[in-house]
Amino acid sequence: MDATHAPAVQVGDKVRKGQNLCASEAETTCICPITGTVAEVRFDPAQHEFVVTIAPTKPG
Amino acid sequence: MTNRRSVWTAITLMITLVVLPWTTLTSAEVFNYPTPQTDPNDISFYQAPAKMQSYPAGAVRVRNVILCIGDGMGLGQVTLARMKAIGAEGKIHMQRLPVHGLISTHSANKLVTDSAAGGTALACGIKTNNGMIGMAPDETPYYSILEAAQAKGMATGLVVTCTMSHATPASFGSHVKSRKMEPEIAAQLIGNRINVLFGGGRKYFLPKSHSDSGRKDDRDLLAEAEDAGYTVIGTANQLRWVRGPLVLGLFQLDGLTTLSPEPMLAEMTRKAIDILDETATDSRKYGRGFFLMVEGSQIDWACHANKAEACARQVLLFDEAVRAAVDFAVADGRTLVVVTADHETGGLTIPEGSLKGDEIKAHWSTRGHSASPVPVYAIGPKSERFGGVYDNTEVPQRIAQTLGIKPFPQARK
Repeated sequence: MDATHAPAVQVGDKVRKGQNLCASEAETTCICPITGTVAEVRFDPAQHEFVVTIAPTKPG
Repeated sequence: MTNRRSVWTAITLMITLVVLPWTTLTSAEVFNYPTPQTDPNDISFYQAPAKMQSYPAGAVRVRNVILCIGDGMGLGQVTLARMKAIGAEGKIHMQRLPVHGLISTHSANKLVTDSAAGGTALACGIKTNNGMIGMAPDETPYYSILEAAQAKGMATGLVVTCTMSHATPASFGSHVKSRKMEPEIAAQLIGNRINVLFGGGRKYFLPKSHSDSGRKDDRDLLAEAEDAGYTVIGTANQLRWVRGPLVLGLFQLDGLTTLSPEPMLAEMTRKAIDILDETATDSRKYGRGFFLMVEGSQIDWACHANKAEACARQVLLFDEAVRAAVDFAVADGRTLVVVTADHETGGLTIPEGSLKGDEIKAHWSTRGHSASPVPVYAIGPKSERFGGVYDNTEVPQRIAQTLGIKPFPQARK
């Protein structure tokens, strides 16, 4: 997601599939593809983006 | 016989030592990028101002303009760097400039700008939407102040520590709908025949057949640049030897590491000034002076990571480049230097710390950009026009006024 705005989530947050991970004021929405826990939020300078890593919740 | 062999060996060695630095790189060559050798938080390179008083104000006519942009550099970043380097009682070089101002940074569609809209405001004098480069929200391209200076007969240059095609330099030398179009931006930069291009991002100049390429087409922009008369370089040693009037220096595949043995921003700035001043002096085509934009690109990156040490280091690297620009301007007497930023990053404040600056606490309110106004510092002839509180679009408009460029802003036909 574009790094102009901070992500709406941080490390340790529980997220659900379909949830918007981008800040509300951001240009676009970033739909969470899976349900899980945010494991990392990393800034990628080359793309000027935040890369959010989500650890999936184990079924059952 | 032995003596003759020794002579030939000596001659060969001399040829190697003299000719190699001049050898330009082509895309076909394998280029081994240097491994960083120094501490990424080291600030021992920084030379604090010896005197506390301000630089003298300039006089008369503007021949050259050097616009220095600290990407993401708000007052908090400047204060943090000052505290780390000198302490509460000192000033870093940019703070010693005689004229101070503040500018707002909002874009056409957002209170919080990105570097594309912020760069476009500083380059073209217009508001645009976040993400857009060198054009209005309706996609009408506008001349940048660099292009207007070039049309006036001035030599031009861009010096950065990000990729050459990143949002800020792109705003001065290209016109695209999205900052993500770096391969297209790289092509436009070469096509615009900007005299000096120093930074990173070699991958966007390599054809897709090259293993390091960032392009999706077969264009070899390094070869195209050479065909267009550019000298293409890739190392600090080549930078020392190269001469104008057209030089493309790409010192990394991606953004620079800002570590040795890469050329530092100040070193690239000094060299760009040398080349542009010489070109403007010797060439009838570029005989009206020069325009140079220098960006401390990675202040923003350090602030997105909320890393105070890295932020201070990047501001001080930028400040060394400002010093190089100001040293030239003071000696030249006809050069206007304007230092500013495209936006603030991190919402940085300093809630507590020691006066000596050794126990500074940085507080970050966001990992994104903020809408805080950013500083302007200026020196040189007509620098008084850059004081006060105003909008970022007025920075290139005021530069255009000092150079007698009008109308500005102006749409490209």
